[in-house]
Amino acid sequence: MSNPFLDIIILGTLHGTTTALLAMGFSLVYGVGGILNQSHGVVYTFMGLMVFEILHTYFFGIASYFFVAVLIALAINLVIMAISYFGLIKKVQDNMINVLIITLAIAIVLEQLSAMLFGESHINLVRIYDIFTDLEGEMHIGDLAVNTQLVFAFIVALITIIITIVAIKKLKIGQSIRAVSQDREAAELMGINSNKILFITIAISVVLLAVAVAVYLPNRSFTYQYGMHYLINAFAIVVIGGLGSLLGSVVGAYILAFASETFFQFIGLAFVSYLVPVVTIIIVLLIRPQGIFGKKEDEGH
Amino acid sequence: MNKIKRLFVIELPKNISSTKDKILSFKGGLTIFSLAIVALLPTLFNFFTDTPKGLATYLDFFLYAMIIGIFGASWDLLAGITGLFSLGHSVFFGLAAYFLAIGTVYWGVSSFVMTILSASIVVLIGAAIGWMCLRLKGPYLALTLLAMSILLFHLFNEPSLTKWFYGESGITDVPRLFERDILIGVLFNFYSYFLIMIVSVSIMKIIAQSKFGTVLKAIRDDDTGAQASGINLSKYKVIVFAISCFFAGIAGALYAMNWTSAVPAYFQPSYSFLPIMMAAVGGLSTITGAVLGSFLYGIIRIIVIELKDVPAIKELPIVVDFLEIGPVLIFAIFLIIVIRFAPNGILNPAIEKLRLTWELVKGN
Repeated sequence: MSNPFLDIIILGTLHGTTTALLAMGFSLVYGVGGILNQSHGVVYTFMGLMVFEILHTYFFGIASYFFVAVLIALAINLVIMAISYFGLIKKVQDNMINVLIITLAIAIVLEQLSAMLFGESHINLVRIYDIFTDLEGEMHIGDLAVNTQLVFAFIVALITIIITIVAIKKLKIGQSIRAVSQDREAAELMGINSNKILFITIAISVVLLAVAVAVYLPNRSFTYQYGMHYLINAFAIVVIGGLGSLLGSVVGAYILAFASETFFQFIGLAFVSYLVPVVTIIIVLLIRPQGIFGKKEDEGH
Repeated sequence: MNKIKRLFVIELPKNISSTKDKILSFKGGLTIFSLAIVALLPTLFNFFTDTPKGLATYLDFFLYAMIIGIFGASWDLLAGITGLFSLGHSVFFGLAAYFLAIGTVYWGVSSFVMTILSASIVVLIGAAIGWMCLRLKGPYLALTLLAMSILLFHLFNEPSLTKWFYGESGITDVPRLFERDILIGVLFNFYSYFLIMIVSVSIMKIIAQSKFGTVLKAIRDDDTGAQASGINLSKYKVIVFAISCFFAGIAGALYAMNWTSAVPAYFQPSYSFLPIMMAAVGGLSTITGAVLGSFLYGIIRIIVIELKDVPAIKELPIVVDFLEIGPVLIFAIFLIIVIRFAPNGILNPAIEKLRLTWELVKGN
């Protein structure tokens, strides 16, 4: 008989670290440009479907080409985001409602495109133990049997998160990103090209999503319709941690993951875990709208 | 209460001649002309089919456009006029649809009464949600409402809660406003929806142009300034939430009636995006723009459906695939183009262009 609390801690840590990948980019883009990217979740599923399609059409489903497929999908999506940023979002950046509408429209276009190109069937991506055939599907931590893919995802996600946070703290480009997110006008006066920085931030968020596609998405079957669900997940995490705060989104991811696991352990209904992010958003926003690490909002962002 | 009543006082025309002037003015004439075209649609589509059922299938596209037009206008009142961007308007749409279905199927209340009743229940819910969300601004409000709609979708879609929320298949066999087996029923159905649309959209337009609407615009443009000049922000926001929810509820009830069912899919985000797309294409804060947008969408849908039956196109599987989900995709691309090149929508520029052309024709 395994200890439920231990299970919650182990599974919560594993899931929390990996879902942080989803939220960090979302939070970063909001912090730097004030853009609440509605297409974030859809880009995630779009990339996942694309990886599946590339792998099966051009590499005949050979699992070892999986990461090549991820790289190709990442490149294509970076181009799409570049076009939509420089062609559309940049022009309406100052009007919050138009930004919301245009990112929403991009989300709808991508969602409908993925429905058209990849169909509506549920898709399972290649798992890590399909690539390295000597691995087994399950690992044991204490008494608990854990999916190997999840452990792999945890390790990769942890490394990625640490690299991202350190890069934003130490690198020159990271300092520019922080400068723009603190005060855009002052940063521009110091000679920083805020549009370039904002695009780099969007690119970082897409790269983080690609990492998540490679390691986290294989855990579950998905269709093109899951995009909004992932958006809500990312938003819940970011709301708990505070929009625009990287550390906040990591902490938020843990809180949400622990909450979901607790509910799942003690109530057991699958749909409850769907509801946890939604209910969390509502509760947190009504009690402390700026989140744990967020700045108190005065006017706009 | 008296204060609120005074807000809604509309400046009625001083005498008949000013009403006549309004109708004879370019905008008034154009409105009457477009309404007349819509009113003549059943005659037009009667040439394409022989049976009342066939006519009804064609008119369904326009009924859809009318309902989504009301829905879009109600969203526009909230987002375009007041600046409260809602990404979860399907909450009110879906709830009203369910209330109507419960009322008409299980309690046997008449459809007309139940439409008003379900919209009124949704008003209470909307006012409560609006009151809860008072502290939230901009994107926070938008995504909280989106979260609420997803919450309701999962509640209503959950098989283990069928007892309370009617499960995945929802409530079917909701009676129509008029049965459509005979031509008269089809026509009554069409014209009653048409009338409801005109009345609802006019009321919203009047609200937007009244003193109340001016206050709402002040809140949208500068809420600190509005508060400083003695406007009670909370009161106005809750009231506008309630009004918007009433019309969203009317739209939801009409939708459930015409498609004879209330299903969990009504809560899906895609139903929240519909009004946004319509209002954004037509033009934010114009109210009537949403109706223009939804009729454009209806026309795109008809063209797509008709194209699918063309034999030459049937042999191209890619085109058929595209047409299957085409309307939303086409409309979303159209929306992107509109926002990119005409951020204020197409209604006002189109009227301006038409007026210039008309004056050229008249020879002034």
